[in-house]
Amino acid sequence: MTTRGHVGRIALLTLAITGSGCATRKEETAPPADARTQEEAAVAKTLECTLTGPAQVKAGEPVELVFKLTNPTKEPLYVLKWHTPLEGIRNDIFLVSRDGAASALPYGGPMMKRAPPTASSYATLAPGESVEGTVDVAPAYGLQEPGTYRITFQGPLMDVTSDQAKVPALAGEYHDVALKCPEVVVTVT
Amino acid sequence: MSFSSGGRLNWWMGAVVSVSLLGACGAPEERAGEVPTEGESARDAVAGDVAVKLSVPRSSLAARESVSVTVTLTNVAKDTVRLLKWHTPTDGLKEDLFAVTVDGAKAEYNGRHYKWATPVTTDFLRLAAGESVSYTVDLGTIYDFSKTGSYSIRYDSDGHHSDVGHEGISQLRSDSVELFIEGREFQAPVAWGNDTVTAQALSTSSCTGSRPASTVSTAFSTAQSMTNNSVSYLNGTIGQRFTTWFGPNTSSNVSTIRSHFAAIKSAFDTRNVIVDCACSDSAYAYVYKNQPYRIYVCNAFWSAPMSGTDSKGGTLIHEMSHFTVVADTDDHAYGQSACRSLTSSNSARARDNADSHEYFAENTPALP
Ligand SMILES: [Zn+2]
Repeated sequence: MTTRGHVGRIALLTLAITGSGCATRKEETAPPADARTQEEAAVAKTLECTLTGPAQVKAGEPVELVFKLTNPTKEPLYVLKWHTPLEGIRNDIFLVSRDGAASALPYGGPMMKRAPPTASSYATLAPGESVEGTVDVAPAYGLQEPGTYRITFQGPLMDVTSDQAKVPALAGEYHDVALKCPEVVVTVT
Repeated sequence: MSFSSGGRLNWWMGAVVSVSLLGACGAPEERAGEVPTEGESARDAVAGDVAVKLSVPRSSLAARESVSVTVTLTNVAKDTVRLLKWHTPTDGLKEDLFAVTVDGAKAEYNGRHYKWATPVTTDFLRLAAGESVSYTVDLGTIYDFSKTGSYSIRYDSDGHHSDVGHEGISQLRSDSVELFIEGREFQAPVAWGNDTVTAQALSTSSCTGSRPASTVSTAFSTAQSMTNNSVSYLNGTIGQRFTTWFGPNTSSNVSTIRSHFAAIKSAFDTRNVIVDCACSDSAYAYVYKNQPYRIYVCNAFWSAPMSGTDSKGGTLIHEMSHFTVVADTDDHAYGQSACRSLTSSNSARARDNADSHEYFAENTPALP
């Protein structure tokens, strides 16, 4: 029974991957309704995400966001830190818009081409455990002018597994997982 | 893309670079004045016909930041005039076109000097009345900014004397811009290839010892030949090589990728590319999208093969594709397996993915 449950969860993870592709942004075409339901179920079963930051900062000050992942499952989960604040800002990982503008602000930080991952490229989350990373988004996304900024973590997580044997992923066999992480609104005065 | 307010520009250097380059090289084949029109008269510009304006994104630069200056030439005369291209950055900087001083002393020009032949029609840049053209150049590749201090930079096409006989033709001068620059090591440009016609140069920074500039130079020419091969392929029969990395063979998809590689080729062939070897991260390489054309290569680059999958040459193509003014690609997936999957899960993403461009260009194993 334990085994079947495990297999079932991996199957859901796989569906999530099929549905979301290599990366998911909100404007993308929605997957079929049933796939989406399963995807959400899979995400809900794997990792919980919060993104928090200051409601208000003065222009020129850092805008430090805390990105936190929690493993609500009964198994350890291994999460590739790439493209998450767990490794800092090394790619365009947030969508930032100002004063309700439809378009995202341009990203001015680095774009890093990765060497194959190693075990240390992963965060290990024991059951119930959380891991967090803090980043200053002001320099990379230009939050220097007064205004109200909405900041969303783009996701997905590029590789998540509960199988330690698959850490690190070999030959690029990543299993990415969409992640629901609530947006943060920061006012720069 | 538009930037409504100047305040941000001080902070975020990319804004200025992006905007000013959209006109200059967003569509290289349509650049102002590029195509000489025989039979249509244009007189030689004289002093006062063409206004030159310099702008810098910020007034203070840390050592890791490139010294990017945007030059805008505007024909303020009432008729079409022509300028000698080698008095402008049209084909990259080939002359000592700037007067650079640090705390009052002249900063040395380390760039190229050419002995120009008598100009022919294609050596002229034409500007219609009111027309402007902008170029963003990285002066760090040609002037000595090793001293930390207050720099004054002015455009002055008369600063060089290698075209004796053409003085008086299209002299261009600007007001000076002042900026504080943290000193950075200067590395002389590395000559590459045997082709002296196009006269482009690669510069390197901190490429010494076990990270030699000569290896960078070979990687650069490898990237150029991979790019040339990609351009030829895209103008021929489209097959599996395209669909494997970029998805369905539709005319719109092919045209997107064709324009990406045209821009990559143009950047490799005509821009002042700097490869910076100071990075010791485990990654291959990185760039700042809005800071063309500086490519930082890291540890994995040095252990990569020269050509083939995830090679040095391919890495340079990956990085070049990222620049906003080149193909503005992103990183949606890394590695051949994930990139192949991208064509079925989200093929628009594949056409926006830097590694997909790299694997298409590396073409290993070769596909028809
Ligand atoms: Zn990249």
